[in-house]
Amino acid sequence: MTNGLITPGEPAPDFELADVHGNLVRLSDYRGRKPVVLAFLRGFS
Amino acid sequence: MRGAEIVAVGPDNAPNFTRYWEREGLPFIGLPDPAHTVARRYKQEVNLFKLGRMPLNSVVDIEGRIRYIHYGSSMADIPSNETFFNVIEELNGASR
Repeated sequence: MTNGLITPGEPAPDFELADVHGNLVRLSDYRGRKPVVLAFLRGFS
Repeated sequence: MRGAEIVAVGPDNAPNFTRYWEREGLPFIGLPDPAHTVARRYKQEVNLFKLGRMPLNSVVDIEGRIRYIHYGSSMADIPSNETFFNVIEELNGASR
């Protein structure tokens, strides 16, 4: 791929963010547990 | 959702994101990403002619690999729920 987008089969880039309750959520915490559906939003405002 | 965690990442700051999340009573994980760190890492497109961020949806398997990814080309270009169900059922079937 030359457009630099992520393609199936690649490792998902890991990240850690605080959720709306202030708990840290790390993508790799789900490894070995269950699949994750990621939705990137447009924004509410 | 059946056998998967749903995680939504959005550009709003934490107070605005949280207010929206609580008002709508959304039952999945909501992650404010006001610095756009994660959105950039996943190459979410920002198209000023289309008035902002384009939808981006992905399914990550239990080994941490991208199994499905869709970069929306317009605001309405979001895969159907059925698309996600099918990917997840395939993943969960394969891991049993």
